[in-house]
Amino acid sequence: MERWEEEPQLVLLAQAGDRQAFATLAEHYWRRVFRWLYGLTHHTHLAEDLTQEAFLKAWRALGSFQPGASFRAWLFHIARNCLIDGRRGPRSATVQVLPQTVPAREPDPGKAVLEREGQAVLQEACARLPEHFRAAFFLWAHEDLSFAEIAQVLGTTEATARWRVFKARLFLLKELGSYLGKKMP
Amino acid sequence: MNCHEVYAWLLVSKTTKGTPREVQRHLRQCRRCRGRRRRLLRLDRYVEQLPAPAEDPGVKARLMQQVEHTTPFRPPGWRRRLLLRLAVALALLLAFSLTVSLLDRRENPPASDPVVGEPGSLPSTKEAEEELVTRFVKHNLSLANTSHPEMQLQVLTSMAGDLQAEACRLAKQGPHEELLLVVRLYEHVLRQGLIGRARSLPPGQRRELLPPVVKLLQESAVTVEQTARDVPPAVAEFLRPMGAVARDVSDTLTNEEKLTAEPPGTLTLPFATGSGTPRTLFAVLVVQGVLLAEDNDPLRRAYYCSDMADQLALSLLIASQRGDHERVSVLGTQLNTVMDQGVAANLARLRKENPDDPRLKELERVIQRTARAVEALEKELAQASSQGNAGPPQVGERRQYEQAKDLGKALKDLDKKLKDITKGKKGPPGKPPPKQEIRGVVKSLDANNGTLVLMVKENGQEFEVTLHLPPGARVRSEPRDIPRDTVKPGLEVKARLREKTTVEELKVELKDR
Repeated sequence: MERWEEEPQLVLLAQAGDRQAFATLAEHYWRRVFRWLYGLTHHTHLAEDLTQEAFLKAWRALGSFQPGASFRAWLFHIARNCLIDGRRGPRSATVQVLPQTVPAREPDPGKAVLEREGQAVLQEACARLPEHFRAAFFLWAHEDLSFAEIAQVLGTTEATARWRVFKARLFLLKELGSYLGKKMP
Repeated sequence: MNCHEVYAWLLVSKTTKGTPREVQRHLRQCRRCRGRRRRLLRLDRYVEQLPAPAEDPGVKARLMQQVEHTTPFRPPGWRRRLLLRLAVALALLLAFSLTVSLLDRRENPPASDPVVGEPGSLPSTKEAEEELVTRFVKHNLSLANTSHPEMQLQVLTSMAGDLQAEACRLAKQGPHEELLLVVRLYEHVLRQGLIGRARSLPPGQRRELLPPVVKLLQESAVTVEQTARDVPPAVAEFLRPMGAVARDVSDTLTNEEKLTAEPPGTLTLPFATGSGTPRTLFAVLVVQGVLLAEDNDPLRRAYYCSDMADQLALSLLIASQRGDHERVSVLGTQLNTVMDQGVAANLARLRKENPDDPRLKELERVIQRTARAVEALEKELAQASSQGNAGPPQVGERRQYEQAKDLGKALKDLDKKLKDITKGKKGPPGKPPPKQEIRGVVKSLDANNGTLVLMVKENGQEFEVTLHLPPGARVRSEPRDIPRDTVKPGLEVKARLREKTTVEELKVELKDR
């Protein structure tokens, strides 16, 4: 993900109480946080609730954010804490095991079938990954976070973050072996 | 590199980003690894396209409603006030920028790029801004280390002179939208700084010290008025108040009655757009400079300097992210100097003057705050160098590489300095002692270099800890010493540490079955 140049300025303004600046930050990061939480919970409404909660907590805690630190990592760390807290509450019972699939529109039918099939297998494989591996892997793959940032989000060391991504990719490669080996039409 | 190493690299690297030359070379020769890379690229594509359901826009709207009715946690005291002013000033500045550019455009259609100066003429905006930052760092360090009114007046007058020169440069050369900021800062230095210092002097000293200041201010007023005649009327309109302020303050300084009656200046702090830019940094330096002149208390001075260090660190991070290596190098040196001559010098003074000052507890907070900024920098640099470790640097990259290396060294020095600052002081109350023992399961032990990797469980989470097992360290399984080659993966061990990561004794815990 490209560095967002306005971010430090917006964070400072939001820290000073500027709601519009915070709204811009929320607009930019909402989908990312939601996607990550959905990847971990496989539950749309739960992911939405947790995203909302994470942003509200971020707004309340903005004063404690250190300028110069990674805002993304800080935000995802809050989202992770919301997920952990959520597991302790009544919402934890509603988690679905398997993901809902939404097929992408694809002009080439042959390719589309193969891609869809591959994606379905990938979703199942991801669901079988232990959650802490999945959390690190999605932050790395979707959010382009560095290992240092992933470590900050997950409250672990950089070496462990690297190890989890390594293991997750190795696992997915094995699970998807035949699909990845097929020649794309 | 062999296949195993290349595969390990591929698994933790974005397969489309900066492949090191050695990996590229291997991939050209190895069909198997090319196949692996192809599969990883395909995996990345699948992962990228993993669908997520559409979000409900109502949830975001509900969040903003909640935000509307919730107050964020505010940082305490003056820091909070500074941040609040930032928002106000930003709005002011944007409005001003729009007005000036509209007026200017109407009267003076743009001809050529006003930012780049002719050789031998005025410096470019970037050079001028950076030069100004350097000068203000020096001014502030002088103010951070003196309590003599004469010296304080001298430095504040130099600051005013620099601001006046910068305003004239901006009026002639642009960008004009920054003129308001500089004019406001000039007024702040004069009303809050010079008048404030002059009021604190006894009448005898005023008569002795103020005339040269008054003379300089009057000269400034003349220069500003001359410049205002040479620039477009829309720009002159914003420059002229500077001359008026200079004349007004010089009058106040020569009139005893007016000087003692004048209330301290209350000014909305104008701020530059774009946090971490030289202009923002310079604005913060001016404001901190006035605070340093007003306050002789070493602890508060250490705070102000620490705040300068924070801003320098932020600018440094942003410059580093933009790949501006020369600026990174300059800012690194300035950060080091501020820590040394600003923070450390004032804390040393406080300790000497009053070693039992209860506020010394606050000292730890100052240091920790700056330490966090330095830590962020070190991380950033480590990340930059790991990205740049793709191979030996090219000829064109060498300079940047050397500068990054120099900065790395400077940061290490700074880290050491932070530790030195805390020396001579007992540890902060309530802070737990460093961990002496680690329990875990052996993941690997490299017999050649003594690297021991343990898997450690804490608070339900498992993570890796890398330790050093030096040749002299004891390896025991009670009741006797055992050879170190008996330490195998999967064994439960307890490591007693000599330093942070160096093992003094490793106890292998064999369970009775």
